[in-house]
Amino acid sequence: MEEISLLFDGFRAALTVHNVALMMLGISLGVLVGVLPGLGGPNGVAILLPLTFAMGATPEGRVSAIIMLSSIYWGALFGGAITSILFNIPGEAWSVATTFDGYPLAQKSRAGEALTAAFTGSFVGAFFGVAMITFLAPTVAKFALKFGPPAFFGVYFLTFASFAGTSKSSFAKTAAATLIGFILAAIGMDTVTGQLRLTFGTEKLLNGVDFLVAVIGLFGLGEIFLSMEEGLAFRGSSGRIDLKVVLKTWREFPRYWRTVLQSCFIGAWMGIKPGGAIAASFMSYAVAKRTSKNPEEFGTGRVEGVIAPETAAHAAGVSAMLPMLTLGIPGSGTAAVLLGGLMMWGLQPGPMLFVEQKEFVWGLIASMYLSNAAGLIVVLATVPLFAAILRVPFSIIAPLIVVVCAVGAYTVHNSMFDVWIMLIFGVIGYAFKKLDYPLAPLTLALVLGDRMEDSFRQSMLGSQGKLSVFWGHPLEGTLMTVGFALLLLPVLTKLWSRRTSAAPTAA
Amino acid sequence: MSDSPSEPAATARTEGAPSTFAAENFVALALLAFGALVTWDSYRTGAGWSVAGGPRAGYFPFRLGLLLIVSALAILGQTMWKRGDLKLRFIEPGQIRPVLTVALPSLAYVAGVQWLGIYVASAIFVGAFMRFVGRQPWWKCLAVGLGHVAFMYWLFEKRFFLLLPKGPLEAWLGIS
Repeated sequence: MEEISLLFDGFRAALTVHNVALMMLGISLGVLVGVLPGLGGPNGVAILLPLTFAMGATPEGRVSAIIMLSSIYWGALFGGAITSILFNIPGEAWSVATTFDGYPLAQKSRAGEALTAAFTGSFVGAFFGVAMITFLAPTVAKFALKFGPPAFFGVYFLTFASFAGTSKSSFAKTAAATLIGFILAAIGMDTVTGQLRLTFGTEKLLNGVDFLVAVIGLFGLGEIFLSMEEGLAFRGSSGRIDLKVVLKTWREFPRYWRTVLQSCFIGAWMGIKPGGAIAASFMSYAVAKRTSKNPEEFGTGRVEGVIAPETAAHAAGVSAMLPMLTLGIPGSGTAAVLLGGLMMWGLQPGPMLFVEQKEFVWGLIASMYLSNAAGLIVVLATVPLFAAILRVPFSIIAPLIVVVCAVGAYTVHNSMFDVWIMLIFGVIGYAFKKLDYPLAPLTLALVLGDRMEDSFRQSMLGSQGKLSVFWGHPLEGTLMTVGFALLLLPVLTKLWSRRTSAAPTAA
Repeated sequence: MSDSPSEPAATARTEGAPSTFAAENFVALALLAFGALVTWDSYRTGAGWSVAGGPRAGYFPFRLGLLLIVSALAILGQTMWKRGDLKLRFIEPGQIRPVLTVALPSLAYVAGVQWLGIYVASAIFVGAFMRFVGRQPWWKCLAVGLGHVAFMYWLFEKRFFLLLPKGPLEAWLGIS
């Protein structure tokens, strides 16, 4: 029960006027980046991270800083639904499934109902996720305290292997994207020997490629280029929500308890593994459709079709914080950027956080309850405002987003060189998106690369260079074996299905 | 923006647009070259094992580079193998112009930031983009172009004490 009292301390830390104001600000900014094309959770947080450098100097400041940044994340999760439902344009990848039934509902002028249901589902999903973190995280962290370098390497390995296993892109492309992330992370000074690597004699590369700069380019600029292809002209339904619709939807909401509950579980489960929210939203939609009494009505505007993906996406997005806090492994792209923030404030993510930074961890967890409740109110109240922003012509929005990306990239290290790097990553992001190279494992590898390498080298030092150290203990052995199984499974199943399906098509 | 023609790419030729096949190969070859560069540089740094310190600095990157070469070769192989299944065009002919109308000004903008500082460059970039691409009325271009710069100045320099790059105009005005 120690956790409960710690959680209440957390509430006390989070419930100051200053922090609640930051929460509201973060949520509003988050909804904004979630709504705008070219900005999203990962780069929204990345762009605003430099503003928190000064805050990160004191413990109270760090709690405030993480509250603001995580609120941007929750806001972005809420915001994705707005564009999906009103404009049939998913603002975020995890809200693609929301368009299937959300937009048809909006066309039947039931947009208010769809939005309320989506937000309420999101809130319930998030609440489920935080509750799970509250009760599971301390146990997981306690367990992880016993991990040595080989076990941590095993966890990292499993993380990336599961990416390859679940990714819809080809195996070779997922591998290439991951490797590029690792290589970019290796650029600069080697943390162990102090030698320079891959800098090719330029001192500009001394500190390597900062992942924030890469994220801003890959997701921000790259997304703008993609949006331009569509020749963006938003035509959407109006997003008016009045209290009567909200109350009516809430009265009917308990009817969907089964959809909500199964979406919560799917989201929480998928969110812990990397790649979470996107896969969770699709899976939850599919499950809701399959378990429905009238599956043929899905896609024509069913409220469950909105609730299922949104609940799961939000539950997954929140659950992604569990491995981040306890193991130092982010479960999503945005969580990866938040993890980068922790490191910049001088915190070492991982199980020790629960021992050394109790106030920080519990302040964050408490704020997750509060900011998701605040988020629900903020989004319900401000939908018309954000819908209006989408009617601003893209020829105004696009250059402003480019400016925001440039400023964001510059402020990371006050370096003009980074702005050029950001531009290059924009082009890479565009090409990769078009050719279906996954960006999430690249980001994750860029963030985790150094730590994974350290754990590998420490393990090798301990074992005098014998790879058998990774199977020296049941824990490590299991992690590595499951990792290899995940890595090889898709390859094997593909080979198998090709062999079985080759016969009829050849004939 | 004029809306792009979205007829299915049923014609056999790609007519004035790069094919997906070429783009796939180009990217895979670039990855191959990058992998080779990384492998070579790591080998030079020392990719082996030192008796005292365990893995040398190039140990990890060397192996990453090799794996990247393997992945790139696999992608090349896949592209050849699946050539018939690929989408014909990497980009539709009608989409090239819109993408370039934002990509080229962005490039000019970043060059401009280096030369004029971020405030002047942003004001010109946003204002000119709105005027010449978006065909917005003059007063709007001026208002948004100057307004967002003023807001940025307040937010970064006054509120958060983060100094953004400045150029000759700021020097002349005596704002450092």
